[in-house]
Amino acid sequence: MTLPRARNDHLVIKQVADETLVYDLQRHRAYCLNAAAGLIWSHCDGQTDADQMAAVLQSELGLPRDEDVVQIGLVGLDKAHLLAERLTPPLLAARYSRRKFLVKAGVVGLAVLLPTVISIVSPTAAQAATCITDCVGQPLGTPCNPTQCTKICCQDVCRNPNHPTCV
Amino acid sequence: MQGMTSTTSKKGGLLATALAGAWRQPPPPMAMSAEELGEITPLLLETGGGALGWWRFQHSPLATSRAGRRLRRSYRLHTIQAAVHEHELARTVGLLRSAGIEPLLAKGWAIARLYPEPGLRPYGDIDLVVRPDAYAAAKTTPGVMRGRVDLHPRFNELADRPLDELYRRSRLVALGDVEIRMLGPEDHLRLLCLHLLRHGFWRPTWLCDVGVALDRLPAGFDWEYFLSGKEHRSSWVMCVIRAAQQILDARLDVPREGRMAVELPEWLVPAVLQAWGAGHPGYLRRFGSYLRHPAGVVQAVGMRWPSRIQAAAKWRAPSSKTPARPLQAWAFTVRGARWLAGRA
Repeated sequence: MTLPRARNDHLVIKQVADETLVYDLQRHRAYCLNAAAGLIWSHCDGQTDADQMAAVLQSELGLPRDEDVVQIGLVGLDKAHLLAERLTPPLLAARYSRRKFLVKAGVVGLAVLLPTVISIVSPTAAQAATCITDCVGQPLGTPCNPTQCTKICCQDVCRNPNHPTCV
Repeated sequence: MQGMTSTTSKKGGLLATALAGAWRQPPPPMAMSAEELGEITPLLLETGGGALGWWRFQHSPLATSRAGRRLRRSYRLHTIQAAVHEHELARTVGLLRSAGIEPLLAKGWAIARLYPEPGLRPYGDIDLVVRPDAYAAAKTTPGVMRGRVDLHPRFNELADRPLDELYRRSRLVALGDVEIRMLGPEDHLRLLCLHLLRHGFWRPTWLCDVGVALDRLPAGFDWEYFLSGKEHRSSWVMCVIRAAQQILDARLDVPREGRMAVELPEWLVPAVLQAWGAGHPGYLRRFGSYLRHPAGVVQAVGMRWPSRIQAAAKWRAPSSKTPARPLQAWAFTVRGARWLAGRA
């Protein structure tokens, strides 16, 4: 399997130590890629194959040389819309769950090394003093709910960040 | 009430301890218990000090505590937001210059760039001043008013200085391939101090900005020009500098002669720590919205009641004998009268 191409439009990228921080200017969402996810993303060039990538992950980060590790990373990148094309259905989550892999691998302490793409949500957007009340016409992710400022605008409504319309 | 005040002040004191010198590279070492850090982490997060808190504690055993992990998340968020803001700032300045308009930057990136990493000092808006005769054109320049750009025809805090002089003393600083014009160091430090006073010191990172600016004063900083202008304001500006020195261990080798020999009012530092311990003051709704909910009028008045710091800084020279409540009542009355006059 060949790795898909990484998306590179409308993104702001910042490397901090071994983490890659990404801001999607279209979706107004921020993500943190751990070392493994960042390494996979950097090799998403439409040419590198999964086995080559698994070898890189083993040599650079000590991960098991297993294409499933690569697939876990690709699923995370796909969910965050960081690939140029969406993954095709057979490659998606069900086969490559982290928990199944950890059970299979049986290696203590492996979980923290596996590729991870997490969404960065402001603990309280009050710190930016731009929390709003009316979400109509606001970009996805605009902080709202002035009392606590823990919600974001999704499709014109102020919602919790994990609401389906916020994805 | 007295107990709440003591607890609030204690939290403010812990915040001061956590942030003292935190902007330095490396930050000074300090010891704080996990309980104490847990107590002030919500305040750090809601007042924009989360990333700076992480910077202070990242190499301590507290980095892996629950509070430490929250601060680290804040650091990540503000780091990427800083990169986004820089992208937006460079784009906006380019658009304005293409339209023949030269903007002048203050606060935001102008101060964040002086920290060890720009993400340590989050900001929500990009404040740009343009000349009054270019203001209308700037607002209608395509693509400029997208995002979080705030255009102004003047700096209210620096109204006692001609805009031409602010431009003459401005500096060009590189941001990637773009040069950003920003206030000169004397004007910027004065603006930081006056802005902080106008808002009653409530955000601790504003006083950290003063600390950073003092650490990074250029050789030949013109103290005489810095203190020129309305004497009342200049005295309070020196109070802010002395407060930064006393509360946050800011640079101490600032001259103390002549107009700079200002003593801190005895009540000021306790009032600052009280404000910090109270956290974010909340968001104002338009006063007219309370007409449908009369019970909210009391809350609306409370949120608009000026603090002792705000009232004193606006109406009196610094003094330990400033009467608090009469001055606050006066400041509130004047503010209300101006609001009504504006609506008349």
